[in-house]
Amino acid sequence: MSVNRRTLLGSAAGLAAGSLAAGRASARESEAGGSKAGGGAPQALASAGVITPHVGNLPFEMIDGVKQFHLIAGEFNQEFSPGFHVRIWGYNGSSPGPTIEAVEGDRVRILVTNRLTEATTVHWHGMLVPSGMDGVAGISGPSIPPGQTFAYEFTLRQHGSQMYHPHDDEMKQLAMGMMGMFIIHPREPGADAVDRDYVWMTHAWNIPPGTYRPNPATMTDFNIWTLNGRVYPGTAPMLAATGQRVRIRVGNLSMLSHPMHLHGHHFWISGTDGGRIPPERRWSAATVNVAVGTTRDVDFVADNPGDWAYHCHRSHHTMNAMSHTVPNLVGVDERAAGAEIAALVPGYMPMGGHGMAGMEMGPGPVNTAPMMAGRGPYGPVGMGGMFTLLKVRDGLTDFSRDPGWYAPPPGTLPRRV
Amino acid sequence: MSRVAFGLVLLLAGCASSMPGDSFAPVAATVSARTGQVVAVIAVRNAPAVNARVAGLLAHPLSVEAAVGVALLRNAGLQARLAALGLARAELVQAGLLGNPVFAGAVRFPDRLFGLTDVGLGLMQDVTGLILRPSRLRIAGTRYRQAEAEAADDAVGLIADTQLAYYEALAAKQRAGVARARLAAAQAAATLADAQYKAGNIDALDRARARGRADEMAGRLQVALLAVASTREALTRLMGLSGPEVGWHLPAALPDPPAAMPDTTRWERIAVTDNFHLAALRAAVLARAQMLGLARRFGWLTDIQAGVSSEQNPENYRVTGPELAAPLPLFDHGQAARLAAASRLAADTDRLIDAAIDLRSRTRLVRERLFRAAALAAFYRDRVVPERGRALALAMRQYGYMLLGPYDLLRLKQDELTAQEGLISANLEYWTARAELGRALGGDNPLKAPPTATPISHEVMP
Ligand SMILES: [Cu+2]
Repeated sequence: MSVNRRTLLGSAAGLAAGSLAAGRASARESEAGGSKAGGGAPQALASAGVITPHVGNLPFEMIDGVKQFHLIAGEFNQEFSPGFHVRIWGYNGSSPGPTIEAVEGDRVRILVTNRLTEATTVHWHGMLVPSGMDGVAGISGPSIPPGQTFAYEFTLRQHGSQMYHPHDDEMKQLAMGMMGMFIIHPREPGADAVDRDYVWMTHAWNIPPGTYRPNPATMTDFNIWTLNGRVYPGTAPMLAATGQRVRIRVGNLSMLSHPMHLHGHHFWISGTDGGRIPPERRWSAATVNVAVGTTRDVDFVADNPGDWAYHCHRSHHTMNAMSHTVPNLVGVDERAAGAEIAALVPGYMPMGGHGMAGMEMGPGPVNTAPMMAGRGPYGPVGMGGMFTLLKVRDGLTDFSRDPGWYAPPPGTLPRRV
Repeated sequence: MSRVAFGLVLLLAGCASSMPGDSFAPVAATVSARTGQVVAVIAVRNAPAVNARVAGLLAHPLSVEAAVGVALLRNAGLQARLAALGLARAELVQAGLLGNPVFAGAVRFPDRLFGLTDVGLGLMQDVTGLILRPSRLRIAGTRYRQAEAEAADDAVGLIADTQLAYYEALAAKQRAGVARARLAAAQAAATLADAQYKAGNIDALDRARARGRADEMAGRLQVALLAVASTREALTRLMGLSGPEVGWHLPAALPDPPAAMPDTTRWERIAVTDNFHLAALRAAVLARAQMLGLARRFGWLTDIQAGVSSEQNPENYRVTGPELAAPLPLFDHGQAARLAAASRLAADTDRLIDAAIDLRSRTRLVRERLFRAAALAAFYRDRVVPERGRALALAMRQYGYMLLGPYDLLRLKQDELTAQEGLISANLEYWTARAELGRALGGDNPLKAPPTATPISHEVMP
């Protein structure tokens, strides 16, 4: 494994000193395993090129020149944010499943054990595999019955950010969380190598407040929006030292597209599920729309120290459980009605007329995440769902823990006039 | 006139004397013992002692016992019925009296100067009455027992009616309280809708809907208040109150039914034995049977008179001797009277059977109502009402996360009020059934006995 990693990283242009590389590896372990909750056994890190927050990467064994991975499909509990536990399906105790990471030209064998109560397959989304390995139930090859293990084996003839997911009872199994990323590095990364390589998967769920299992029959009315199976404030921040090259890869197997927006930086759209984009054909943006069934890589230099929001720009995707049917009370003078209702319903307080973010949510139902949450140094954040931070700090070397809130230099804060 | 005859008349007159004022005492004792309420003839309606007792009973939030106590003191209708018992007593006395002896005297003057004056004296006594007197006394005694039972039934009936009116009035008061809360909830929604409309957030239709619901609840409250007034006046009438005494007030709520029921297997038998209406009908049948017996034995015997007469005749000596006058039963020997008596007996016997079947059925029904209503009340009290409360508390948590709005909370509040209405109805059903039980069982209250083995809860709801 270390040989592979050295191969991978050794060719990276502008690679920092060995000590930095070592620090980075340990940081990745912490970031990958640190906030994983409720899943199966801790993931040992394998090739350690990419960082998949909360989830980690899938280890492999080299067997006669073949990288052999092992995915175990099953049901488990996952903590989407502190106190919010959901009974979902996925791989190796996680949704998304652990990231499979390999190099163009590798021969890979992926053992898939089915611990569900129904048959499943794995489709290698966007990957150039032999037809029999494509995982479409009934067409490509046999499905995996419950309790059995099948092996998929093929040679990687491409590079890029790919995905894997079932193609058997697909709507239900996807809705229950069965998906993962399959990252194939180019054989010669050259100038394309980065210092921090983050992997996220978006997903949309319908988990009515107070329930513990997603409703897989939902087609449009989703209420929980996750990054790597977590909602803000349960999402981990991305970390970078000022000047480091950063890549963010996003895959989307939900039923809606997610325009992912980064504050404080422009990035180059550098890859799709069709592979890495040649430098001369990349374009610059601050938002990249990750359509349904696609992946996008963006590359940038973290040259702007600070705490930067990174989020889907559909504003209701940065909310947790919310209702579509509450009455519109914006601008409504609720004083008279509020007094009348409080006389009948003890503890009632009007809340609609004030700004939502300024509002402290009251005690809520069990097992859900408040629509808007989080507190920063200047007050409530009022976010949820697909929201996290990119924390850029000068001289950052310890990636194993959150560096805390950014302290803006004098003269760089808005002032009262 | 013979000394013997005069002595007999005086003797009979002495036997039949009576004090009509004491007529009700035995009935009062029976009813009081069964109901635990003092039932008495009130000689002076506004006697200071009576006024003080009524004032004492009305001073507190009215209990059902106090309402019954006041009714027994003040209900003039009952007092009128109790006075009628004096009439029955008078008839009993009358049955013991013989017809007064008839004295006849005649002086006849001669139509010549020195002729003698004819003087005749006679004393006649009705003999039929004398012969029939034991039978008639027996019949009058039976009739008196019937009248006693009817008076007792009136007293027990007034107690039951007063209890019914009391529970109806209390339930009406509680229902008006719920109607007031319903209006407040609908009004709060309308107030919020007004504010939303003013802010431009809902249209005129949505505001009209909210306003319409509040108006409907306002109408329902008026209906509920009318029921409060009419049930209150019904109870006031039964308590016989007027003037300043009508200002009584009720406690907050109907009490919970007890948690267990006593043995009910003997209730039907108790009803048949103790129900006063049935007792009165039984006495009526007995009287009819006695009358038929009399008609069969003595139907031919009418209007016999016996006596003595004495006459100083013209020859100036006196003739004295017995006298008898009797109709000869050649044509009318009482056939019609016997037929009438037999028919009356048959009719009253059927009335008794009809009433007994009715009473047994009502007693069984009362038992069912008590069981089911107690279980239903427990179901509402222990399950439905707390569940509705819990739903509202859970909804409040959803409201706290902006998953539900104020209108949802107010709808759940209305659900909670609906559950309270269900509880009131179940409690009312139980207590009215209990009042009917007292009527059926002649004032007996087997529920006073300690409950036995049958616990009541919604789990055993039939
Ligand atoms: Cu989105």
